[in-house]
Formats: sequence, C-alpha cells, structure tokens
Amino acid sequence: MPIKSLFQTEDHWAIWIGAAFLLIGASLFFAFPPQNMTQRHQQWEQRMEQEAQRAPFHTLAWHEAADAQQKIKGSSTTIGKSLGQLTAKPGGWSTSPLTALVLSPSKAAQKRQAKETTFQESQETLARLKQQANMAQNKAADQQFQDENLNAAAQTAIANWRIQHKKFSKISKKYKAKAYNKIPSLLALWLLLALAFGLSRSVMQKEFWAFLKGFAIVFAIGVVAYLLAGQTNMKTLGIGYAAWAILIGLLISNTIGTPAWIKPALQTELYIKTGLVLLGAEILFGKILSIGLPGIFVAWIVTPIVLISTYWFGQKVLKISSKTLNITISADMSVCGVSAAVATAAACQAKKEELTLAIGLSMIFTSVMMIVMPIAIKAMGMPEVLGGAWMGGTIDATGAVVAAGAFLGDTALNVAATIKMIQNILIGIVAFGVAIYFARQNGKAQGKDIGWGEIWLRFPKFILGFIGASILMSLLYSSLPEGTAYSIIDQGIIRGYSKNIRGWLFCLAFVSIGLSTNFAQLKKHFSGGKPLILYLCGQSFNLVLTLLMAYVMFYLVFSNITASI
Amino acid sequence: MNSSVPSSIGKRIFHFLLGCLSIYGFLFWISPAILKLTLSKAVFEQVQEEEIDAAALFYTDSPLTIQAEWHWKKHKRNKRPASN
Repeated sequence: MPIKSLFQTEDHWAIWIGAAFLLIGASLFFAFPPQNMTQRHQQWEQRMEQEAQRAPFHTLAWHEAADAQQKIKGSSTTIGKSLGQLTAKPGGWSTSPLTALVLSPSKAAQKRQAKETTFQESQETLARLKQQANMAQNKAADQQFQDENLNAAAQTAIANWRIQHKKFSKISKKYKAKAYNKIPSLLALWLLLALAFGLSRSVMQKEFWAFLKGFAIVFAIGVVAYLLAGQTNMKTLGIGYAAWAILIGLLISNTIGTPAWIKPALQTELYIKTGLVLLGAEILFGKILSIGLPGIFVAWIVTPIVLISTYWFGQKVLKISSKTLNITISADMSVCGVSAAVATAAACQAKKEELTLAIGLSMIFTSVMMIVMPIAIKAMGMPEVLGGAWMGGTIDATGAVVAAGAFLGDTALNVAATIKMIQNILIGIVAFGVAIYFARQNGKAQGKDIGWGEIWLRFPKFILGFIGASILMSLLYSSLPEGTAYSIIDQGIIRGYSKNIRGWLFCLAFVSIGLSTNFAQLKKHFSGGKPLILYLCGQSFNLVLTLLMAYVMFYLVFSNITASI
Repeated sequence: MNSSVPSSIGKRIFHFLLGCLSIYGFLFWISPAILKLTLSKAVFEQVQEEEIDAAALFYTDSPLTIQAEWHWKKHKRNKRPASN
C-alpha cells in the first residue's frame, strides 16, 4: 500500500491526529511523573496494610493513607497542570459568563473572603470529629479491637469524620479560589487544534488558510457552547455542551446563514472520528470488567438484544426508509447516547441530519429520564442496587446516569455508573459490527455480493484507531503496578488531558453539524414522527428487559455479590 | 443558502436576535422557574448562590473517575483481613 494513501482520507488522519495527541500526552506524563511516585505509593500501601492487620475496620490512619495515595496524580505535576490548563474548558458561572474565563485577584479575594466563615467553621467541625474518632478508636484499640461495641462506636465516629471530610474538601476548594485568565490557554488550544487539523486539510484538500479562517469561528462557537453549558442552571438541568453547540449552530445556519468562508472548517467527520480515537483510550477493559460481574450480564445481554430488536422493528414494522437513521437511533438509545450515536453514524455513514435527529431525541429523553426515573424508583421503594442497575442500563448519556444515580444514593450511583461503563465498551464492538453490516448491505444494494476484501475497502478505518487505542491503553494499564496506572493513566493521560481534548473535538463536531444543517432537511427525516415512535418503543422494551435482567442477575444469580455492594 | 433561511437581510437578523433572546430567556427566566418547581427551596437557593457545586448534585463529569476511586477503595478494602 503506498504511504501516500495513508494520508488521503479523514479516517486515516483521525487515527494519526488521535495517536499523536495520545503519544504526546503519554510521553509527557510518563517522562514527568509525580515526585517519588513509586516510593510514595509503596509507603502508603504499607501503611494501609499495617492498619488493616491491626484493626478489623478502616482506621483513621488507613483513611489518611488512602487519601494521600489518591492525591498522587499525574495531573498535579507541573507538566500535568500545564496540559490540564491548556485543554481545560471554561469554568462554571452563575450570572456573568465572564467569570468563567477571567477571575481577577480582587474577585478571587472576595470569593475567599465570602467563604472564610464557612471554611473556618467546617475546619473546626472536622478537627472536633477527628478528635472524637481518634478517641473512640483508641478505646477500641485498648481492648485489642475485641470489644464489638467499642469497634462499632469507633466505626461510627470515623464515618462521621469522613462525611465531614468530604464536605470540608468541597468548601476548601472554593475557599482556595485563585485568580485565573483562561483566554491565553484557549488561544493556545485553538492554535494547536488549528495546526493539527489544518495540516490534514492542507494535505487532503490544499486549503490550509481557508480552514484556519473558518476554524476561528467554529472554535469560538464551541467556547460559547461550553460557556452556556457551564451556567449553574444549565449544569443543574443537565443541558450540556453538545445541545448548545448544535443549537447555536442551527440558530446561525437557519437565520443569518452560515457564511461560505466558514465552510472549509466544518469538518464534522474529522473531528468526530479523531474524538472517537481518543475516546477509545478512555475505555480500559480490564479495569471496567473487574468492577462488576452482574453488570456484564445486564449490559452485554440486554443491549445487543434491544439494539437488534429496535432496528428490526424500525425496518419491518415502522418501515423507516433510511436504514442509517434507524441504526443510529437504535444504537444511541440502546448503548450510550451521544458517543454511540456518533460512532454508529460514522460507521454506517449516516447523514449529518440523521445524527442530529438521533442526538436530539436522545438528549430530550435523557433529560426527562434522569429526573423521572430516580423519583419513580424512590416512589416504588425499589432497592438502590436494582434501581441503579436499571438506570445504568437504560438512561442514554453516561453523565446523566451518574446524576440520576446520585439522586438515589452512593450505592445506586456506583452500580449505575459501573453498568453504564461496561455498556460503553460496546461502542467499539457495535461500531465495528455496524460498519461490516453496512459495507455488505451497500454492496448488495449495488447488486454485488461483496467479499472480505471489498468489506475492508469500505470499512471505516477510524474504528481500528478507536479499538486499537482502547486495547493498547488497556494493556498498558494492566501491565503497570496499580498505583502507577492510577496516577499516570487514570489521573494523568485520561483525566488530565485526552478526555478534555476529546470533549473539545466532539464540541467542534456538534458546532459543525449545527452550522451545516437546516430545519427543512431535519423535518424531512422526521416524517410521520417515525423516529420518535422508534425511540419510544425501543426505550420501553429496554426498560422492561433491563429491569428483568437486573433483578435476575443482582438478586437471583449473583445475590452474594449484591449483598457485598 | 439553506432553504430555511429567510430571504431578506432584515428578517434574517430579526430571527437571529429572536433566537438569542430565547436563549437568554431560557437561561435566566425559564430554567430558574423549572428548578424552583423541581428542587426544594433550600437546595435551589444553594445552587443559585453556587454554595453547592451543581455538578456534584447532578454529577456531569465522566464516571470514569468515580469508578476509579470506587474501584481503588474496593481494592484496598479487599486487601484487609477478615473481621475478627
């Protein structure tokens, strides 16, 4: 294969740009790890082991060691902080969006002052509770931890101290508000992305300068989308950047019109595919699978059944004319919302309007379900584990699953998030399957019975980047000592860097979708409300089947695991 | 030009401004009204004053970190010997 052909398509460029971002991030985080990382991990590990040998419950020292160990993060090093700042999205705000970008030293001081009393009160309470916990623990220790009542009293006192510790950490973060100016880092990020994607456009289409001009506007709209999503009420309602990016794009393209000079920068596919390669790196098989066995059954049995049934229902019963729209809605509803919709749409080469429609449906129902489901679960008196499993398997977006889980409680949150993440692994597998299926279908539609060679030619290659990134990162994660993997990969490359860039790329893709879509086209795809009926029927089936499977797995098959959650 | 874009410049700008106004209205009038209806008074006031992090109330971040931390704690817990 000539080398030139590896630089001629969006799929290849998505892999190269995604790989370049990951390589740069990995090199920097591995080259500049937290100071004495290994020794510190070992030191705290030993401390925790000693404490675990000493007492039958988590002692104060055990918790302190665990806290100290969790603070060993790649994102806390100088390089980590710089990468975090470079790729960070604008912050939150309440009444003035400017505060999301710039906070002057005087305003920061005002913020600190406003929190001073709360901070000091919280600090005093924390110290008092710690002292009480210490005394209770010492009493239990005096009896060699043999007295059940003293042990229970110590555990309660320690639990109270931990609750206050959590509250204090939040207040402390606000109290330590520092002045910032995010505008220079946003400009630097714009330049970095403009150069990366401009280079690809330059090689593919020879339009570097045209791209650069338009990209400034696309990026600026992306910033506005993030700003709107960061407003307190929007965060509370769960209306994220994706909705705003599409909405602002639609507003412009359907009113004043998208100027022709912006169009070279509307590279929806390129941004999405590169973002998906980065998303692959976030999906660490080993870590996710080790978390929850019952969740694997709930996520991996129900999801494919719902996906295939919904697609079949759309084709055979509703007779939706566009197969690509049908599969995109089916995947977005059964797997995990926006990411699955984006990956599936790219795999089957769906139209932009079809993707917009699928994402729109998903976002509307996600917002409704994340509020209604926890209320309904509480009203029915359903156990947290079952409720969490039900929500994790049915609510589309991962963020919304966690939000809804938090409504019910910590256990529900953990179960819901675990199931959603296990389900997220399916994004790559579904995209892979859909790509092969549609390559064959397209061939058949052209009257050809195509073989594997032809399938390979038609196969969207970026999926290999997505799966490759996931496999490589998973292997790297499991080959490292757990502490190192946590500090460098979880809390460094992913959390402090690649996840942020992926968010920006999806945001730019959604801006591009909005700017290149018009309502008339959208309306055409919505004919007869069939997509809505498809979504509603599929989701209803999903709700019933997931609840049934969650009950069987968590209460009949793996009841011992459920008891230990 | 999109078929849904109005023809005259005046109309286009008018529609654009109307859209901007709708967004403004949603941010500052409609959404607080929705929240007032759905959240308790105390929680609503706290959200408005940014006393509590809305993201913590409706956690919008990736669950990966929560999971990492949960897994971490679980792993540590499993290392501890059984209760006496």
